[in-house]
Amino acid sequence: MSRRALTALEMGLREYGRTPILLALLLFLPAYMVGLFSWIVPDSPVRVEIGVAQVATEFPELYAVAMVPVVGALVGGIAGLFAMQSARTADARLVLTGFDPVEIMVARFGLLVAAAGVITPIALAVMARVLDPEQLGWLVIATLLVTTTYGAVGLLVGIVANRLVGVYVILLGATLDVFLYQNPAATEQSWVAAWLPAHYGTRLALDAAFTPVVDRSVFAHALCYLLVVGTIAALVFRHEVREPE
Amino acid sequence: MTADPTADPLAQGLGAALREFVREPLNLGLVLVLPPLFVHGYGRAMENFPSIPFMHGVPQHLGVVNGAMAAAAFLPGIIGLFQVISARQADGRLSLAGFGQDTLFAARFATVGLVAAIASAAAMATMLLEVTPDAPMQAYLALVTAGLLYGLLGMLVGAVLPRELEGSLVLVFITDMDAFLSSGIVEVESPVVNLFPLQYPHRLYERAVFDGSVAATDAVLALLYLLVLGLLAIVVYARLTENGGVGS
Repeated sequence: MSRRALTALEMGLREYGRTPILLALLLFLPAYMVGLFSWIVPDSPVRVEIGVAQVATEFPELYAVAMVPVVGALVGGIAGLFAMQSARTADARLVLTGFDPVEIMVARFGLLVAAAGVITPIALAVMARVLDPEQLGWLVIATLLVTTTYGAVGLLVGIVANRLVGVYVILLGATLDVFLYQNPAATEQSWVAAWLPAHYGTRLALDAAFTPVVDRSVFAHALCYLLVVGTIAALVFRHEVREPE
Repeated sequence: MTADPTADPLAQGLGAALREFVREPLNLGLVLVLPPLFVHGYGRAMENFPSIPFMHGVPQHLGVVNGAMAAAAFLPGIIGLFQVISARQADGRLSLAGFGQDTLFAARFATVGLVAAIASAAAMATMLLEVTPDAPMQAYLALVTAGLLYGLLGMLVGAVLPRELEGSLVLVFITDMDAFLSSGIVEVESPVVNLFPLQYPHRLYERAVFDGSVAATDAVLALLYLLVLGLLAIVVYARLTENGGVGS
């Protein structure tokens, strides 16, 4: 990472740091979401199919895990959306002062990763109250993948939509994708589910939480999905900061 | 262009808020296109869920019904949030210029109400393609009530937390949790769910759709929730716009 990209990232992190409410929300909201949902769902047993494995668990455990990617998708999507909106104004000015668009892009993506780095341990720590995951490391990777993939999706939504429309799309889109299409309680998955941004990340998270062996091809697919969406988002972001409205 | 001094201030305020909203063609698309898309998506997403005894109707129909409720309720919420944040200083100055704070609040709320009515109609029209409610008018009123509740909640969040990113995050996390809890996928009996705004209109709505009856207790509680939220929003909004909206 170049020195200027590091400076831009540091500026972004300082801005986050100067907004204690935002930091507090990034700490509190994942805990609230995972904690409350796993606390109030009934302690009933449930059998779900994860990959080829049949897993017997309970609703609080199942939804404690399922809520982690939901949190990642919401925070990543909203953060990406607002990053693109600020790219149109503030970041375009940085380009005028001599910053390379790639440096700004790296810095903004670094901010998304930082946000993911804040919410992931919180969400997983709260989840750990009800479930000891089989493979914690893979669960961390899965959460980071969903958050950053949705961050890239948020960037793309921010191109075609203003903040008002963007927040609505991220809110209902993430709910539809992660909570409904990827819900492990469904008896079979629609073909649509496999094309949605959270598909592979959520599958990886469930694998990591409930099975002793993770299907590496799921991880490879999740990474490819992130690379494709991330590349498209990066190209568009670069275009936006070069040619602001 | 100057405002007509004889015109009703509420009509002027509502007109200005509506013009601000429709100036962006995307916003119109938001109200008319996105709710039907999401209603349809919810229906498709839930058709692969198993039928569970506590579910009302087949899962696909339940998905369409839930989708209509979520799409109609959350849109006014987000509009309420962004309206209050973007108009904070403008409304403060209008207040100094002689517009009553109650008039300004009423104009903002009327805009949210109008969006709730239109989004509910769009969502319900899509739902009608797959599910015929036993009591359509009651179902529609339940949707509008949910929209008004979320509209007020959005205004309240915008007044308490007047920054777009933070306000959006808070609203999104409240609404998502509310949507999950009222989705009917998991049977939740905890009294905590009753604190969420969508619960009462959702029960009213499900009863109206699936058996045509009126859940009187839920109707009263929904109205009570609306009243409390409205009073809170008025108090916070009045504080926000006093002294020209600066420093509050």
